[in-house]
Amino acid sequence: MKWKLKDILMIAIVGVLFSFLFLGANELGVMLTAALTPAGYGPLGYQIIYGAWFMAATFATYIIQKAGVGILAEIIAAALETMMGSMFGPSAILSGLIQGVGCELGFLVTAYKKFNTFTMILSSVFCSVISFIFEYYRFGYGVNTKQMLVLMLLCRTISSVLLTGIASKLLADQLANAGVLRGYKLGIKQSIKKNETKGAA
Amino acid sequence: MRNGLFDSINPSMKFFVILLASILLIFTSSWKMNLFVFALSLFLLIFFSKASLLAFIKSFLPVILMVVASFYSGYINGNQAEHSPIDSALLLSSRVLAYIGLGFLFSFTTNKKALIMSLIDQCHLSPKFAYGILAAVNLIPTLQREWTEVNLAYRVRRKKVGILPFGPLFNSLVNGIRWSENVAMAMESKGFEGDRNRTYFLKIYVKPMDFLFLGIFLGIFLLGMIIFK
Repeated sequence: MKWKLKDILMIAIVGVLFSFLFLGANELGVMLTAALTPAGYGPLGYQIIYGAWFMAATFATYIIQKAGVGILAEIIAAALETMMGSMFGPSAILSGLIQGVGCELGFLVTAYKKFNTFTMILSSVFCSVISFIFEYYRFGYGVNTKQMLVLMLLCRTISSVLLTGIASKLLADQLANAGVLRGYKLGIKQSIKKNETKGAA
Repeated sequence: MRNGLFDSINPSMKFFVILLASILLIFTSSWKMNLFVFALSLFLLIFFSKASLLAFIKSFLPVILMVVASFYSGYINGNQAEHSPIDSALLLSSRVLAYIGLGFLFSFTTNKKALIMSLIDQCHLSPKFAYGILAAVNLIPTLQREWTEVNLAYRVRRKKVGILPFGPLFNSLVNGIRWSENVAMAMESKGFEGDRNRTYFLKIYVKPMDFLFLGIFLGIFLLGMIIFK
């Protein structure tokens, strides 16, 4: 697959910007973790903000509308994270790859033909479920009770649908409306639609 | 005495050996092994790297909360049928420590530019990706300044941003996407084609020492897996 330098740079810079949003979300996660710890539900705190991790992947896929963008976006984000001194180091690449696969699956269902609210939400659910299965083994969640596991997955999926599915799409649509995405598939589609409505009127 | 042996190991080789260790760790479930991995990472960081210990301690503080939270959660909500509460608590919290130990061992001892150049030399990464990522890395300080300014502009206008600042994110994305197009155009107009046939400002080689040191590291890791089964 041929990638354009423009696409690679856009994905990388968007990844950096979403990481700034994540830093804010991270504070929320720390506060929630601290608040929930006395009840023994501390790990739920991070699950509630987990969707912010996958945002850049669905966002970039929705804009570029090509197979493989989700995986590329997650791997570039993980590479940046590793270089900036993330606490998980090289294993961040592994979780990036897994999350990217999750993101791709949602769009693969329609053979990369439909990029709309439905596929965005589908993709966000896949991100949540697949990353959870991976972490189940990575962090040994098996010792948790079933009730705790269900709660964790539920929190992560709700967060993912809201942030990765819906918020990412709204942001991209607004950017296309503002005319920033003329060089990308989403922007081109948007301007064709605008011209059509103008022609009808 | 501290020496910088671990800092000078080939970055790609270090990357893949630590990645391999992270994957092997998935197949173990012993809190002794987890603590052993954490101790091994700490030992290497302190004695075989010149990384700033103060910076390490600073990055380690938020980790303590994560470890305490997972310990307490394992203790209260652990699956009582298979493990005793203290076992669940130790398993969950030590696993977090082991991964963070390996992560810090890599990030604190690796230079990011050397890592990228080594990925071109040893792993045949296309320069298009390598320099694309490097360009973004070099833009991070500018993006950060932009982010602070946009947030400040919101505060000047008394607009609420909240803990998830979507407004400032939108404004920064507008600039960020325009910059990415401009930077790509600038690179291409200077003759950047993204193929491997070019000169490099930094060449990274593999030394015999890399094999020896990483071999010993993996050996100790595997030994730990056998002992602390």
